[in-house]
Amino acid sequence: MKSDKGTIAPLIATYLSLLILAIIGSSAVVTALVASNRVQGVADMAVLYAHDRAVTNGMPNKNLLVAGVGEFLRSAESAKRLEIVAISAAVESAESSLELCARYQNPLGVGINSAVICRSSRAESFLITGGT
Amino acid sequence: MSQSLLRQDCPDSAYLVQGRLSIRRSQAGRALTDKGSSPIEAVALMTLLLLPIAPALSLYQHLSDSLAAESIARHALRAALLDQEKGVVPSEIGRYLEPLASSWGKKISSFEMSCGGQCEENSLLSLRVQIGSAWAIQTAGLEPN
Repeated sequence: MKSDKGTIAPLIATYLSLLILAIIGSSAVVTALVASNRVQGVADMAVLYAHDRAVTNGMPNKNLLVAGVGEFLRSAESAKRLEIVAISAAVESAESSLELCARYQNPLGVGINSAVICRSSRAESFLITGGT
Repeated sequence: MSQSLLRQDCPDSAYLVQGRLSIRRSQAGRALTDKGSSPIEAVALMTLLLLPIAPALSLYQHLSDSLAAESIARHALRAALLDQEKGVVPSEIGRYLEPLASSWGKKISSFEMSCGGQCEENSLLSLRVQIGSAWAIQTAGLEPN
């Protein structure tokens, strides 16, 4: 015969553990989304900054590009919350590219730091002529 | 004799188990009864189940504000820099922010533009945008002449 003896404690404990898991999971997703946007923004601005200062007659210089990226990442306010893990700057013909891998300090302050996020960005100079 | 007939004659907590009368008891030895209010139990359980909705909505709002602030700061700063002569600090950043905020359906709480050190050629320009409780900062270099 089936018995309805037992305690509700395991049910409540299971529910609360699922609740905590859902909160931690949601926080991690939020952090990752915000972090990837921030890293992409910093990568975009860094490659633009460095490319502007490395380009001569439309052709970027790789050494100047690397130096520019480093200077930007050291000084920029937007990069302050990032823990830069890896930088790879390259020049291919007239195009500068940057791959930035960084860890983002969690903005929600619940002690969950994001994983390493890598984003890439490219820049190229164009000569705009003409006009009426 | 059926079990249902017996249960009508027994106390609430008594059941016929294998022909013997059984009374449910707690671990402390007290007799357990089924007395209570199911609406109250339902409300209590529903409250417990629906409790996470408030923080979930708050989290969603924060995420939405954060993403909007990041995007608005980045695009407004870039638009402002491209709209100026090279090396000139943009003066009216607000007019770049408003259309972007409208497209996101957000209201900007505050914004602040600052230079790293002195605002001169080759310096870095930062734009901090706050939407609700979320804020974002983007930095760009003034284009060299």
